Amino acid sequence: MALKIVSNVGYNNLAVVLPQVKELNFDTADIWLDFNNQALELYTNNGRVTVNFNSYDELLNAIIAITRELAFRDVLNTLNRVIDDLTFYMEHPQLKITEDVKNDLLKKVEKAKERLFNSNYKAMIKMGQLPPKYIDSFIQSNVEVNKAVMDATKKYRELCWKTYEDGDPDYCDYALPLVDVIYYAIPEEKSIVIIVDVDQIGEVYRIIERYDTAYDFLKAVDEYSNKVIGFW
Amino acid sequence: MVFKLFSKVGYYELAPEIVSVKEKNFDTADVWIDIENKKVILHTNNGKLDVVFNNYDELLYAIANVSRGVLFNDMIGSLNQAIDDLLCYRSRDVLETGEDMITPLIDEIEKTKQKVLKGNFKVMIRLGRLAPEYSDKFINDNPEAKKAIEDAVEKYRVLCWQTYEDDDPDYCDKVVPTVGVVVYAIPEEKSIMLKVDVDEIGEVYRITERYDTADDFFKALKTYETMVIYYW
Repeated sequence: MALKIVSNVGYNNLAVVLPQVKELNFDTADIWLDFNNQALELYTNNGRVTVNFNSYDELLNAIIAITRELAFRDVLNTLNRVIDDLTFYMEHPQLKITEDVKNDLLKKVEKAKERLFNSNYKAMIKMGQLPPKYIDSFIQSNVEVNKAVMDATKKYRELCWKTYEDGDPDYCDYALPLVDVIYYAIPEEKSIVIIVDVDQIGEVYRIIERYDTAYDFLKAVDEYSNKVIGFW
Repeated sequence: MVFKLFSKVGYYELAPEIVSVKEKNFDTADVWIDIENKKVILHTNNGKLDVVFNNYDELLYAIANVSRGVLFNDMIGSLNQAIDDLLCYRSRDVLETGEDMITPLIDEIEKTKQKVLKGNFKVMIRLGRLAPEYSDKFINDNPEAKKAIEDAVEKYRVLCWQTYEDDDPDYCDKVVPTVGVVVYAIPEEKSIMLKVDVDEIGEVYRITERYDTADDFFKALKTYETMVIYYW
């Protein structure tokens, strides 16, 4: 059991998408994937609960339902909060700006909300990042990744020269950016996305591994979870 | 007759714009204007303070600068709060939606901040609504405003039929929306703007009167003192 899917999920949020918990009595739960037992483990404020599934397809569907619901609520709450900030945060509401810049922003936030409601999104679970000791061998093992990181390093050094102010004439030519390799699971696509991210430059390469069956996907998630450092 | 321009303006917002305030010891002040006596009256947490100006140009300059300073702080505060909420409010960092809806919004807010920081804006002070008798007179004396309101009433009734669920067959054909005429002062333009708002429809008409001198601007503003219902 290696992947914690989400922390601190409220009973009400969970009961909507996971009927098995309706009869239980708890406030919040951390949810872990137990691949070997085809189950989800719930660590609640009222003890540990195992929710078993009849098949890996059912288990995957439950994970999809939970993550979609929580990602949806999270983004929606954030957008609503931003609308409140832009609308009500002013201490002096009798003062206005002649060019109504906030209205344009509010329209953009409303559009983002509409896209969210139209469900044009897939929830991604950020599983963790590769430990530093494996990053070099990961980069070296893939020619394209290696090339992308080398190109990004060049850009990083150019940026370095633009801001470097000390007297070392070689400093930026030897500077090495931090490289992260981050693993995401996308349950709805039965895929795992590996993103190579270079400090100051951003994402420079992504690998998508797709799996045909729920079993294969969840097995891969379980295996990768043991390799990465989680964000918890 | 005096009227209140702003409530709870901080010492640090007032002192740079109204020099004689620098010597005083207070945290916040309500700012009133006494047009007849070319005076700004500050009701502070440390007593009342009268600031008398030599002429209307000086008075106008002070009001324009204080309102710019206050609005600037308000706008930047509101935009920063929105950015903070987009960055930090999410309770589940490990869950993401495949489409990044948050980053483009942060970029837009940053662009708006840049506009505000460049200072290419003018401040409108919302004085209040015309009292009903003056509002009626304004509408009746102004055929364009009257026409705009009639069109808005039609739209309002169409909207009414879209949501009306009771069984009065004439209800929405007779319903009349609230109409308000809001008065704004724009010190930097030496202008006074009257904006007609219709409930559910929004702004339908605006008329701006510009004045050549600070004296004329304040003289005109003074005529609204008794015509307006203030928001405080």
